[in-house]
Amino acid sequence: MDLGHLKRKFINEAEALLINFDNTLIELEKDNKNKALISETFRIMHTIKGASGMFGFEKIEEITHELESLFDLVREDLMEVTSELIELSYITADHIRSLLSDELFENEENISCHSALLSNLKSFKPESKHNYQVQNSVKQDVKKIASWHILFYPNDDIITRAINLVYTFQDLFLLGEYRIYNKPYQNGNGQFWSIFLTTDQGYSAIEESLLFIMDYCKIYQIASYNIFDSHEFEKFQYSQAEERNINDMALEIAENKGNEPQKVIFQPTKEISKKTEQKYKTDHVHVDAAKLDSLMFLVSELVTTKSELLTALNSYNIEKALVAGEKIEKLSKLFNENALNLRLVSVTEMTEKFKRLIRDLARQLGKKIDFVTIGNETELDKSIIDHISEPVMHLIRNCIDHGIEMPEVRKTRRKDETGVIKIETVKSGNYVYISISDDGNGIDTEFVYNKAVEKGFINPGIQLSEKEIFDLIFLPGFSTAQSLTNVSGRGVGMDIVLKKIQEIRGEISIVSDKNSGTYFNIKLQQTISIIDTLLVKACDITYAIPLDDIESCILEAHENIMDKKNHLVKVNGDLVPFMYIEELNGEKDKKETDKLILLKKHGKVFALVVDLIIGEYQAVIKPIGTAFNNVKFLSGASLLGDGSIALLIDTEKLWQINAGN
Amino acid sequence: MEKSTYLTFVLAHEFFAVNVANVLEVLEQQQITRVPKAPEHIMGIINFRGDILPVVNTRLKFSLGDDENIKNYIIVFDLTRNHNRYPVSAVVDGVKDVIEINSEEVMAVPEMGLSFDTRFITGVIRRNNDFIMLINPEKVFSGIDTEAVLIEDTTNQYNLKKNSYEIQ
Repeated sequence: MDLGHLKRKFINEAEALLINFDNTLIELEKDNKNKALISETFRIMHTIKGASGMFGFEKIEEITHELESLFDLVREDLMEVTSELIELSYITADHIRSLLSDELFENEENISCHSALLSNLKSFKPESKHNYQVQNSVKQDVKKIASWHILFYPNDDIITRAINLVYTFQDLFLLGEYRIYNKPYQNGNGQFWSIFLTTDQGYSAIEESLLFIMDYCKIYQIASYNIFDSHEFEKFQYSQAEERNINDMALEIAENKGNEPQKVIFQPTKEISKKTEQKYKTDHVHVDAAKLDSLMFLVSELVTTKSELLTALNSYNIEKALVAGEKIEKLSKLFNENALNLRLVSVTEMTEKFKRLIRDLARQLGKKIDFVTIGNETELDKSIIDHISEPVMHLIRNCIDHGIEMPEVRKTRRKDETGVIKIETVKSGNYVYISISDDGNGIDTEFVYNKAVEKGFINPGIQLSEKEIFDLIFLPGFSTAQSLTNVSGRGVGMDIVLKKIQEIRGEISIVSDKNSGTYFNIKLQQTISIIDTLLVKACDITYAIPLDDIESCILEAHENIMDKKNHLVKVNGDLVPFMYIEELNGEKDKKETDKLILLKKHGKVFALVVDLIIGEYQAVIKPIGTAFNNVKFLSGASLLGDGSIALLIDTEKLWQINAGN
Repeated sequence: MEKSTYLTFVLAHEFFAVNVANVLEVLEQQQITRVPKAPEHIMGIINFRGDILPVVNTRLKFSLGDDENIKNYIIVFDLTRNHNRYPVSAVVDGVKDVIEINSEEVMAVPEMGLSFDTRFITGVIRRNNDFIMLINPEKVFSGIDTEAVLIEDTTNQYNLKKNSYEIQ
């Protein structure tokens, strides 16, 4: 039983819940009477509290309990949502975040912060209502309250069945008052949790809440009253402190109550390896059920086609076999599409995280900012989202820090006091366009120009177009911030944003008008792992060139149209620069049979000379490793059907090399 | 007495040994795809179980002089750095056998008199009149990724800490 796996899942889940929590708070700030939002905050705290108890994050349990009780008071109209309460909630959320990565509670900062926060939360409760006992939201009716003891002993199955414990137990904990022991406890028989619960709901309710994990649970009624009220409970606890076998204890309790004693069989113990407790990267993807349905449909289709093929082969019916073969080819293409589709997630995953950041930054800088997202449902490959989150966050920081003006300034410019930061996402063909914009200062081209001259990036007096001036901002070491602020402008940034986006073959451009705002436009491929390419051969090395960037191929003899001295070739009346792949290779071995491939990038056409054109190929791109970092014009490699390797040409870099000449 | 198992191989008539724990596989006559403008000590890339691995020219790495006529074997090493596993493959002249080495056998590296780069040698043992040099593949091949590491470092400066937007 790999407990680390469950624990990591919890951490994942908790982090997602906290983002949700942050965003609910932002809404609540605007509408502090909204009942639905208040219950949402309560529900999130409650879920985290229950689950953190399950996984031994006692400190989180402690802190969430306090905050949960505050929101419970709000729910009961005994308190109001004040800006102080919201501020406190934000701090708590951040504290929980740091506690999640500090399971053993060793970090000094966390320890001091924890006690301070705890007393803060406690003192927040209105004095007069001090007697009000928060009992996990359950009205303690004097109905048939009974106490139950639930033993939960999961095994590896629970991981393979992908059961989400965080939510499973939330249902249970909503039934009534609970205490969790053995978090998780390990004795000779395996790992298990021991949960005491008092509820008025009866056995069926408990069974229902644990529906999915009933196989791993034993439930005993241990008393027909609330054991938490009596001293008996301390006795239970006490016996546990003596490290008695909880199994026996439970049986004992059951026997005492006259119930049929059941033998509880535990799974054999496996050591929890320390390694699994290490920090790790999130790698879960949430998938729409519809996508899985279409995958299942394809599978059934494949199975029938497979038997068609087999029958045809058995009866030596070549024609039928060919038909089935073709069907399989079609299906494999669909499978390919479907599998890629599974990796697509909506950009909400990224934009949701920004809400809190924007709110905090705006406050810090005393600016008023609205955050608007359009086209949130647009889907992008999960790995791309992970890759661009940081750069996009940096662009947003720039918008807030340098873009949006202070409210007074905005007034004098006859703009609304509240600035707007907008993220628009649009899908078009195989590309996704993301535009991050503000309606603030805009970029002062003159200022950028002078700055570049001052820093020695360009020679004074040189004529530059507006676009070229904006591109200066992406140069390493270029920072226009007049004073370094906390938020952005450390001198690193825009060049790394550019680098990060180019790494995944994306493009970024700036459009800006002085005093009316700035747009950062990013163009990305929807998936990066598979692209359509043209295979060519040069100097016995096979190369793959992205099909999107190819204008046309010229197969005719072109000796007469080539001006080798000036590296120019005449195509349809235009002179186009060309280069040999061999030249990139450091060798020069020109042949008469050369083929020309016209590439178009950033509106400019240039040609590449190769020995042989092989044909189109759908390339699955693999990294070639850091050993080749200095080989700028290659961005990866792909395995061909026969096991050999084709090198993927980075047209962007090729363009840069060409422009440099 | 501590015993470890080593794989021995030949490079320019010298014997070397590497702990089998660091070896994934030995490949014979694998087709190596050249990569233009690659560093001199990288011969190209190979397809190893569907992954693409750089191939190190071990002779050049050890300053032993290149010899293209020698039938090549490729040893695929399984290395770790910062808890990340990364396989690296390296060409050697020949693979000999698998031997057991006692920790007492290992002698210090002589400071002089060797015809090659001794930085990567962790110790020497003697077997049947031959000297076998023990190498630490993690040291030998760490240089390959140096560049990558440097790039990562600069990115880290910019990678603002996850919680850096805490309320002050």
